[in-house]
Amino acid sequence: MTEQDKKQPQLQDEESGGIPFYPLHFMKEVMVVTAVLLVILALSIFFPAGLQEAADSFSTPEHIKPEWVFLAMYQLLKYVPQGVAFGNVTYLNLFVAATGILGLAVAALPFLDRSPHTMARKRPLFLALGLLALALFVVFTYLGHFSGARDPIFGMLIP
Amino acid sequence: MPEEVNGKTPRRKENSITAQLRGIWRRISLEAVGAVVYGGVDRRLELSDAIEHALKHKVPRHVNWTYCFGGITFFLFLVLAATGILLTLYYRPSSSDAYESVKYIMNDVRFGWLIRSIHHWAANLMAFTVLAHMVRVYFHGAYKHPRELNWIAGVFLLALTLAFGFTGYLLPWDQKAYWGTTVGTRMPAAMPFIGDFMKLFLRGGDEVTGRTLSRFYSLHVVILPMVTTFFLAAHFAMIRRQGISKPM
Repeated sequence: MTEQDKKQPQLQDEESGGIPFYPLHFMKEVMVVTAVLLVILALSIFFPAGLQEAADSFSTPEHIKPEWVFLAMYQLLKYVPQGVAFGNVTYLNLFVAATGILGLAVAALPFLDRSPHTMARKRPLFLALGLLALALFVVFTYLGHFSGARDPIFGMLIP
Repeated sequence: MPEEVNGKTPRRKENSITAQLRGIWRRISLEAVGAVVYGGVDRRLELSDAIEHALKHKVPRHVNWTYCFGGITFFLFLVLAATGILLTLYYRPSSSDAYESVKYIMNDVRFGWLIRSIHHWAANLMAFTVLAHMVRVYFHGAYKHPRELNWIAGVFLLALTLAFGFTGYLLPWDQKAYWGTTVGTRMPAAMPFIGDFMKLFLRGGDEVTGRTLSRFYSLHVVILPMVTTFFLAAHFAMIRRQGISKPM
């Protein structure tokens, strides 16, 4: 191993093998892009984007839901108690601060997970954290989607 | 006799139709780059060597279908840019006109409904592919040394994607848009220390009004696309410099 290889162990394999990007890999990309376009076209034709009544600041609708990416956050917010935690800090302040810290932790991930292994099963802590985050996101998105009604699987009334 | 491609004979015999198709595809594409497309230009600027070098760049063999989400995200970004530009031709960003202009796009502009629907679905799909790309990178540990900076660029791009979604949600100025934004902006308004500033900054006042719409429009079609283009360029330049990671 050269000095360069020791510094950047993951870069070694790059030049040694593989298929040329163009035209062979590019051809695959063209196929994938075509498939994605077809999916978007089908969704657009069968489920066109909707438009409700014009905005009215005097009439609040019963259930206000965000886009699906924000549904988990929307649902989690419902479990945050109202009112003041201490001083002039509300529970909502604490929740938002915690969300910000979590965001920073995600950005700093490469500096938190410092083990040299990249294989998921050789770093059980981060494998577990990742699976947990994924599961929480899916569960709360599901709850958020059906909140205000009964969910179809368990038939529970979701707050 | 296997066909000669770029002066090398293929390593293994393939069935003849595939081999012929590949041969034709290679010949057309590479010679087109060298001779047709850049002919006159290339004699003056000498670009073809650099372009050919870039195009022949090797894609490592361990790349499989799970690596496709980043590329699809970029493709969807281009779809959103194209349909978004078309939407600006008819959309009017003011509290008195926005709703009517979107209604006009949906009902009267030829294929307007399709362009807006493609924009809507591409945006939803893009949020999904960004998350899928991130999950793939996470479980492959592809953010590790030396790719720390590219992970951070990716986190910025995720935040930008969410900001695109959040600002675009208000633009139709219907009930869902208005109240979604009213509720949504309560979250940044509760940020410690800078909450009041964030609320004023985003809403342009105490309530969601036409000012909020102008701000979100400016963010959605000018500021966010510029910033995102910068981060995308950095993201891709770093991939090119460091190569595609290999799980070990």
